[in-house]
Amino acid sequence: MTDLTRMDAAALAAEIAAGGASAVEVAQAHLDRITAVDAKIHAFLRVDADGALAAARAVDEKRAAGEVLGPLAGVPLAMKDVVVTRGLVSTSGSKILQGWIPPYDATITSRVREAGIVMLGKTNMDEFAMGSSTENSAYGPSHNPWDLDRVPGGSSGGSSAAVSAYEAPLGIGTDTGGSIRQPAAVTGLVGHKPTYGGVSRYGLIAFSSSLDQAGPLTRTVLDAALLHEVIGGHDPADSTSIAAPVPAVVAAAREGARADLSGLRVGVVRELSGDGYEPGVLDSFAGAVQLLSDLGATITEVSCPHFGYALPAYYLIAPSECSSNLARFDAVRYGLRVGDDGVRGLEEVMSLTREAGFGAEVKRRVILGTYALSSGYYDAYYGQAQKVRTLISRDFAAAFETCDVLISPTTPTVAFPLGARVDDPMAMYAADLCTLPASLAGTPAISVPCGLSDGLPVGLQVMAPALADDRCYRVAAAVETAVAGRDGQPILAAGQSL
Amino acid sequence: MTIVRPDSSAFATSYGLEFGEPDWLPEVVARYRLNSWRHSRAKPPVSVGWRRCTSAAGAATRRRLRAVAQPPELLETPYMASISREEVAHLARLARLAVTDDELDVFAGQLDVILGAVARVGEVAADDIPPTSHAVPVVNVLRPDELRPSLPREEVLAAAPAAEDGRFRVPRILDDPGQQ
Repeated sequence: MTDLTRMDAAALAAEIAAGGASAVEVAQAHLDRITAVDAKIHAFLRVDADGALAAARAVDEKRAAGEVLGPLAGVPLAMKDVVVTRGLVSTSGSKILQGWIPPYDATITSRVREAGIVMLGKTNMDEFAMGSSTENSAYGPSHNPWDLDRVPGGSSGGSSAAVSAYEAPLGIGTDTGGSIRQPAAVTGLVGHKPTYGGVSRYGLIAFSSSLDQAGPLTRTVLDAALLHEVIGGHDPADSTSIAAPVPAVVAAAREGARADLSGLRVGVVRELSGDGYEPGVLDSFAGAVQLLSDLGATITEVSCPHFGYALPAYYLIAPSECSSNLARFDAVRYGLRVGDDGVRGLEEVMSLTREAGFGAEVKRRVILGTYALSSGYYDAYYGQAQKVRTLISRDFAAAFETCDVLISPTTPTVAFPLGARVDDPMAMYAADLCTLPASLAGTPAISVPCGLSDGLPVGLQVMAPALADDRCYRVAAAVETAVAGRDGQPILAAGQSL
Repeated sequence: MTIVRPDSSAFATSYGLEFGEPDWLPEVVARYRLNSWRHSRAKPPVSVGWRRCTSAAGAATRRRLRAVAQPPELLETPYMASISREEVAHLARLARLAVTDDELDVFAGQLDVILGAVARVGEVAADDIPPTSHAVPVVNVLRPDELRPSLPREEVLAAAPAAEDGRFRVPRILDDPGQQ
C-alpha cells in the first residue's frame, strides 16, 4: 500500500471518498509519522490524537451513511497555535497563555471542522507570531526538515516544518509581514497570504490587526487553493472581513497547471534584488523568470521606489499595534498571574505577570510600539509610517497598470542556521524584506518553490492586486508544473528523508 | 529631517557642547519656529531635547533648516535617534513590564539600532501624503440588535487565573502603591 503520508491533500481526499483508505487510517498514519519524526522536528506544541481520530471517525460515518463529503474531508491538518481552538490549549507560542483552554473556536477552526478536515494538533510558532524563525517560541524552536540545524522560517515555522516533514498535508499559518510566505519558501512549500479581509481574523490571537491574515501552507498549489476556499469568505464576526465571494482559486490553480501563461504581463520588481540577496537565490529567481517567459508570459522590469521603506514602516506599525493589542494580557481574564500575594496591588501583579510571561522579542516590540505611539513621537514615527504605507500602495497601483502580477524572490536568503540571528533583531527582520510590501498594501501574495541553492529550497513570490488571489494561484501552479518538468521532480522531492 | 536630541553627554561633548540644552538651541528654535518641548504642554518624554513642529509652516522651516545648517556640522550628521536606558525603563513602566536591569542594558542598545533604522520613514513621507491605517477601506459594520447567547460563564471563568462568586477575582486595587 502506498504511504498515505506522502500523498497530497487532493489525492488523499479522493482516496477517502473512493473508499481506498478510511479517514481513520489516514489520521493514524499521520499520527504515527508525528510520533516517528517530531522529536527531531518539534513542529507540534501539542498533538490531539483523540480529537483527530474522533473527527476522522465522523467523516467515515458520514461516508458510510452516503453523505456527500467536502473536497478535503478526512484530510489531516496542522493548525498554528495562534488560532484558537475550543477545548484545546492555545498559547500563541507564549508562556503568558500556557495551559489556556479557549472557550470558543476561531472562524477558521469552525470552518475547518465543518469541512471534515482532521485537525492533528497545534503547531509551534514565534511568540505571538513575532519572528522569522520560531526561535522566539517560549517552547523552543522547530527544525527545518531539509537541514535540522537550520530554521524552518517563521512565524508559522511549526506548520511549515510539519507539512514539509510529511507530518500533515495541510497547514494553517498566519502572515503579518511574511509569516506564511517566508516559512513556505525556506521549507520548499506553497504558502499564500490572502487579500487582507479575505479570511476571517475572528479567533486569531491578535498581533497587528491591520496586517494579520491567515492562509494555507501546503505541498502543492492545488492543495493551497482547496484549503483557501474552505477558510475564506465573509464572516460577520470580523468587521474587516470583505463581503465579497472568495476568488475562484481552485479553478485558477487547475488552469495554471496547464502551464500556459500566454499574454500574461509579469513585472519583476527592481527594488527586490541586489545587495543582501544571496547569489544562489538570485540564480534560482532568474531561472524562474526564464520559465515564466517560456510559458508565454511577457516579462518587464518595474520600479516600486518606496518598497525600500517597507521594512522601517512595518517595524513601526506592527510594534505599535502589538503594544496596543497585547495590553489585553492583564493577568485578570485569562492566562498567567504572577505575584498575587494579597499584598501586591493590581499594577504590580500586572507588571510582574507580563515580565514573566512575555519573551524578549515581545517585550522589545511592546516597548518600541509604546515609544512610537507616545506623545511627541507619534507624528515622527507612527504617522510617517502610515504615510509610507500610502506610498507603497501607490507603487503597487502604478505597477499593476502595466502588469498583471509582480514577482520577486520570497526571501533574500535560504533557511539560515539556528541561532545565527537571535541576538541581532535587525538581521532577523531582514528575512521579511520581500514580503513586507504586500503585507502593508493588503494585497495577496503567494510563495511557490522555484529552485534549489546549495540543496536548500528557494521561493518565488507572486503578488497580485487586492481580491485577485486567483492570479497568484494561476501563476504559481504554472511555475510548479514547469519546475517539475525542468527538474524531473518537484522541489520537495529533493528534501532530506527522515 | 535631523532630529537632534542632545541628551547624551558623549554626543554633546563631541560637538563641544555642554550637557543639556546647547546655547544655540533657543535661537534655532525661535528662528525656525520649531517646537521645543519646553513650549509644549506635554511632559517631555526625553530628558532634554526638541522635537519637530508638525504644522505645514513647520515643514517649510524644516526644509529651510536642512538648507541653512546651523551649526553646520550638527545638521550634516546622520539621524541621531537615540534611546537611553532611562527612557527604556520609563517606557517599560508605561507598558507594565517589570524589566530587569540586565534586560534594560540589552534592550536600550537594541532599540537604539532599531530606531536608527526605522527613522528612515521620515525621508519620504511628505506632508501632502495621507496616512493609511488599513489597506482596504474600513467601514463601520452594524448588526441587528438581537439577543444572542454569550460564552458559557463557567468555561470563561475556568480559563481565568482566579475567579470567585462567578466573577473574575482581581488583585488588590485599593491602597495600591501603583496608583499613588
